[in-house]
Amino acid sequence: MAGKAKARTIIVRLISTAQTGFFYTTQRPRQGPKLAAVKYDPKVKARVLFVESKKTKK
Amino acid sequence: MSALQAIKRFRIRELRATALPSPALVKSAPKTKLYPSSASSSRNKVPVASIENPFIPKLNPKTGRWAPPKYSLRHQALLVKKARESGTLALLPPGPKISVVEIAAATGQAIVPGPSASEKSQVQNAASLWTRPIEWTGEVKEKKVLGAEIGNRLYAGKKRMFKGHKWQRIAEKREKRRALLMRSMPKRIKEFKQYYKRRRPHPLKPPRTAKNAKLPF
Repeated sequence: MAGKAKARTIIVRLISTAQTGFFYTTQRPRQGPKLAAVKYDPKVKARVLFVESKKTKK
Repeated sequence: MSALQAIKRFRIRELRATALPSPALVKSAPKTKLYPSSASSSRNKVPVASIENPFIPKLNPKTGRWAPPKYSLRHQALLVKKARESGTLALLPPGPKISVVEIAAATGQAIVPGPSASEKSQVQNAASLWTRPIEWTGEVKEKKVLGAEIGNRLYAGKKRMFKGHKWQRIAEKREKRRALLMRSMPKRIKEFKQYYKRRRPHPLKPPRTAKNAKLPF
């Protein structure tokens, strides 16, 4: 029997480029481009750029 | 074995090990070259023996390595205890278990025990043999306990009083780094927006991007 099929979407972390350790978790299509967004970072109390890092740990 | 006996044995052992001539020997053969300095000056007096302090480690000048003291700390402690019991502290060399000051104090009120009255005459010579003055050579390093003089050595000699948590210790560094990154943040955001504007001029239309295009930031 074949293994479990891969999900179409993956869960990713958007980590703050202010390197505060703060992150958002979101989903994106597996085949889609890497995510990046300007979002609020409560640690520095400002809107900063978030970029995608590794998938969330299981 | 009594406390006094232990000290006596220690003294005799040390005196014998140095191979110095006993006073009797000096008297019988005064012209031997074994003991030239004091033998010539004080023939009748008991010579001051110069013996290496067996309570302290010794540096071998040839190899540069340290040899442990002849008597272990355990043995030293035992001897000191016995000397205290018998009031013969002045007869011991200074070392880690007994300070120079203590010995000096003991020497001031030294009660060098002589044999009892009946046997005094018989062993007079022998007694003076083991209680004769010895000059212990070698420097005794006194261990200084920081803060002992104020009665509290908890924080004495410490670089800082409290170590703090890891996050407290690295907080300053992190803040600096964060400030640096935040300084360049408007520029980074501007670049990000320009990138997407170029790639996707109309947000409602589907993107025409290559798959997994690498972001430049």
